[in-house]
Amino acid sequence: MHQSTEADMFFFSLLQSHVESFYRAFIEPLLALNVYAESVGNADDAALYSRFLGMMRGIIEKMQPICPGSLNASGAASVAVISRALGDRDLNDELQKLEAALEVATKLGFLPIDVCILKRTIGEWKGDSHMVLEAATKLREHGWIRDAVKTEQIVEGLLRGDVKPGIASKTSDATADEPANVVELRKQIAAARRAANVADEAGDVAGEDFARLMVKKLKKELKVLTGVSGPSRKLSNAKLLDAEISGSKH
Amino acid sequence: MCLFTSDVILTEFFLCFSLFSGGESDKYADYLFFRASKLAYEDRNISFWVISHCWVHLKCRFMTPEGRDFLQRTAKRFMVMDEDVRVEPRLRLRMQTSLMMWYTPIHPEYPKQALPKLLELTELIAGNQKLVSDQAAAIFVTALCAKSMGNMQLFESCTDTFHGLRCDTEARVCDVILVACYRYQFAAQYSFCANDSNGVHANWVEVQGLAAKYPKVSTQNIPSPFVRLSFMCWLSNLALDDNDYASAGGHLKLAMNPMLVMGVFGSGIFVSF
Repeated sequence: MHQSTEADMFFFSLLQSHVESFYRAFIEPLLALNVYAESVGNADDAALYSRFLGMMRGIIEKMQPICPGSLNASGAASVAVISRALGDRDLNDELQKLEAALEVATKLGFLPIDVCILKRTIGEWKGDSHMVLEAATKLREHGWIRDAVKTEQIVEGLLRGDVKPGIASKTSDATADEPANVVELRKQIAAARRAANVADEAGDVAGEDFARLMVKKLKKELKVLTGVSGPSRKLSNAKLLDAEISGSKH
Repeated sequence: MCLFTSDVILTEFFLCFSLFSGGESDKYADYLFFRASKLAYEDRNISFWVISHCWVHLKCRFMTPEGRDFLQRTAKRFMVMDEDVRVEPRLRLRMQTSLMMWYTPIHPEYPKQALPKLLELTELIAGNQKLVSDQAAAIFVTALCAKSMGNMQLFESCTDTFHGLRCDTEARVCDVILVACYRYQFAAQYSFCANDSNGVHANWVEVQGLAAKYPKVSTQNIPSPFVRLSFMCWLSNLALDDNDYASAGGHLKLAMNPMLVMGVFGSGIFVSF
């Protein structure tokens, strides 16, 4: 091992307990690319990004009791957004965890940025634009311009109605006006995904592969039942978006 | 003679840690660590004792209850020794930097209390080119704490100080590269927070240029895995701002090595390098 790697190890524990932005810098592009890969129907990439998202969630949850501090504050926000993207957990439970984390982080008083990130996530999930705006203002005051800009975009989205509150969009989209067999199939897909993630975290490669195969098979059945799959619906939107972007560039 | 023995043991102890492969070498490292500590104690050699204990966290001791007890006891001793005039400023700074590393997971509020002390000690050794690596480590932790506490003025000031650090001409090449890597990583980190994409790209170009600057050094660890991972994440984020999904995916996939991700973010809890 080289000197540089030794020095890297030297910094890790501080990064985990105090500086959460390194985690988010990795998780945020994973989330965005996962959505994009699904929207263009790139199943392999989507599976890869989902796997790494599951891995990051596993790492954070495993480190939370060992490294209290940032991982218990904004780390909880990262876990929640990953769970929302993977769709394998009850989001109401995640919201409760977020609110508990916010209470603790506010009491501790030494992680102001984490408080802002938690407020932003909770506000976005509940559709509370005031809470998100408060987070944006604080982030700007602290000089975290990039996060402030992103948070302000969420506020604008909430006010315009482009950004739907997290809980509502997840629960209503999945089940509204759908026949019972489709709802059942969606539940089975979520359960298979959950099993794949559990197997991944436990290092059970064969179990994970089997569960992911099940997900693929169930998705095919869902496609037959509904006529059109989620990703292909998103694909048409993405193609329109691509056409718009390339049109505006030329 | 005894001092010589403790010196040898300490060297072996570092070598053993550097293997970091678990199993028997961990036991050997533990044996050497406690033996070096005992010899340093018998020699009444405070410097050796401090140096050996500054690295106690490397085996992720904060992750077990016994390890945490041991670290808490060590931290209390460090805090007492910090007032001892026999301990030179360089070692006092090293103790403070070290505490920031492994005491923070046990007491996350510690950096807020220790920040003034750290700044004072960094000021004491400023300008001594022989101690640049100690100074660099101290500035790094100071800046990270400032960043997480939302004090961007201090973060910016640390970035400027870091930029001015120059290693001694006799310094080891790996130290020079390490300081340079962190200098650029640090500046990029500030640029990323300030939403300055040009700054991040410019610093990445500088980091990439280091391998050409030091052709005799293996390029495998230039930049170090952590520095590379950070840059890939930032560049991916910036590409997404421009809706450039291809570049974002390309950058991120370079960082998506399970061993690296688990080693960096999981602190080697699952695997070690």
